Amino acid sequence: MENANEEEIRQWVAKQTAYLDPPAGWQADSVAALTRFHARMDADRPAAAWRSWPAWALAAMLIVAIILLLPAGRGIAQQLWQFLTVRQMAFIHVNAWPEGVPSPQVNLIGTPIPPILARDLDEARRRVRYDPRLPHAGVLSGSPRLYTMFGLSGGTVVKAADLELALRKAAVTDQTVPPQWDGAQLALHTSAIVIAQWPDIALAQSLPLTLTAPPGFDFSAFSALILRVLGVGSEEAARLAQRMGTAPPWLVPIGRDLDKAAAIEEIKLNSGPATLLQQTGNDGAIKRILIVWSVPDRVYALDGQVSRELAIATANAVQ
Amino acid sequence: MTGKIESAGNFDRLFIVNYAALTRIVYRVVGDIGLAEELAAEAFWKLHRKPPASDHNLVGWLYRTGLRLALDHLKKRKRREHYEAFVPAAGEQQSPEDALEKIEQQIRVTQILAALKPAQAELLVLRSEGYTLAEIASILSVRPNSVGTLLARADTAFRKEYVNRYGER
Repeated sequence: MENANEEEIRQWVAKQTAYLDPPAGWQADSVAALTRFHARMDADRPAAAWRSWPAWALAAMLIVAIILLLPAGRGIAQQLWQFLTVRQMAFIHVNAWPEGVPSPQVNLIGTPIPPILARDLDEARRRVRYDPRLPHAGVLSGSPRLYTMFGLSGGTVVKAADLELALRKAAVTDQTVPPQWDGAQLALHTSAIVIAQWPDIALAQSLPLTLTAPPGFDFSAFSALILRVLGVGSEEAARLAQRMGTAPPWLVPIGRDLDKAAAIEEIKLNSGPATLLQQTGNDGAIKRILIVWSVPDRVYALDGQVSRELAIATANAVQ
Repeated sequence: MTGKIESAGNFDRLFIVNYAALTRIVYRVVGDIGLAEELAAEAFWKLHRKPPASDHNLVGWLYRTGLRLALDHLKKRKRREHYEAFVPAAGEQQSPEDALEKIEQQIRVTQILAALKPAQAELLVLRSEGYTLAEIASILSVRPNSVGTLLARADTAFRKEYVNRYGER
C-alpha cells in the first residue's frame, strides 16, 4: 500500500470501516424510542414548569411590589378591609429607594403551592372558575401544558418612621407621614392563576388584582408620598395620585438602573399598552423576554426565551 | 423552539423518519446497540430542548449532533469499555478466535476514527453507511462538489493514522 493510489486507499478504508457494520437485520424500534422520548418529555415538563416558576414569581413580585404605589381611595369600605380592583397597568421609571433607609418589605403571603397540572382547558376552567385564554392557533405550534395555581397574595406593613427617614433622605420637605399609617397592612391578591407552558414560552393569567387595606387608608396620599421618595416630582406625583383616584392603575415602579440590565419599553399590543422587558446576553442574543399587560378582565404575564417578534405575536394572539 | 418542528406532529414525524437511520450511524461509531439508541435519542433531545436558530436542514443538524455525541463518547471511552461494546451479539456464529479478531479490528477502526478530525470521521462513517456524496454534502452542510475531495483526504488521513499505529495490514 506504500504507493497505493486513491482508489486503492478508498477500498482499503471501506474494508476497515465495514467492521463497524451494525448486526445484520438490526433496526432500531422508532416507535418504542418515541414512546420513551415522550416519557422523558413528560418527566421533564414539571421541571420546566418549575423553571418557569421563578419567572412567574418575578411577575408576582412585580405585582406585589406595586403595593408601594397603590391606587387611590376609590375603595369600598368593608368591615375590616377596603377592596380595590386594579384594572389597568402603568410602568413608571423611578430612582432607587434612598440608601441607608430600610425599604418597605413586600413579601408573598403564605407559601405558594406549586403549579398543578391540568389535563385540559376544561379542567383548568373548572379549577379557576374563569375561562382561560390562549393564543389563537397558528402562532405557537403544539398544545401547551396547562397548570393552575391558587391565587398569590403579597403584602407589606407600613412603617411610618422609615417613610419619614426616606422622605428626609430624598430631600422631600413638603410631605409628612400621618402617624395613623404606621402598622397599616396592605395586600394585593391575584385570582387563581392559569399557566400555559410551551417548551420556550409560558403565559400566566389572573383575573384583575384585588387590593386590600385597612378602611380609610388614603392610598392617594400614600402613593404620592412613595412617588416623591422615588424621585418623582411633586406635580407628577400629584397627577398620578389623582389618576389613581379615578381609575386605579396597577403601577409598577421600575428602577432607572434596571434599564442597564434589561431593555424596558412600552409597546402597543392590539389590546392596549404593555410593557416589555428584554434581557440580552453579551452576544446580543435574547436571553429572556417578559411582556406584562392587562385588559379589563385579565392580567397577563408572558415569559419566554423566544424572539421579540414571536413574544409580541403571541401576546397579540391571546383571545 | 417554538418554531415549526416543535409542533408535536412535526417533531414526532421527524423522529420516526430519522431515528433508526441515526441510530445506525451512531452504532458505527460506538459499536453498542443500547448506547447507540441512547445517543441518538440524546440528539433528538438536544433538538427538542435547544434547537438551532434556523429550521434549515434540521435533519443534517440532527445527524451531525448524533455523530458528534458518538465521537465525543468514543474519545472518553476506556479500553475495557471498547471490548464490552463490541461483544458479539447473541446468536452470532463465529469461533472465539474469529470473534476476538473482529473485536480487535473494530476497536482499531474506532480508535482511528476518534483520532481523526471529527469532520473526517463523520465523512467516513456516513459513506460506510452507504450515503451518497450528495446526501453526505447535505448532512454535513458542505458543498457537493467538494465532498469527493474531502473524502479522499479523510481516507488518506485514516490510512496514515492506521499504519502509524498498527503497521501495514
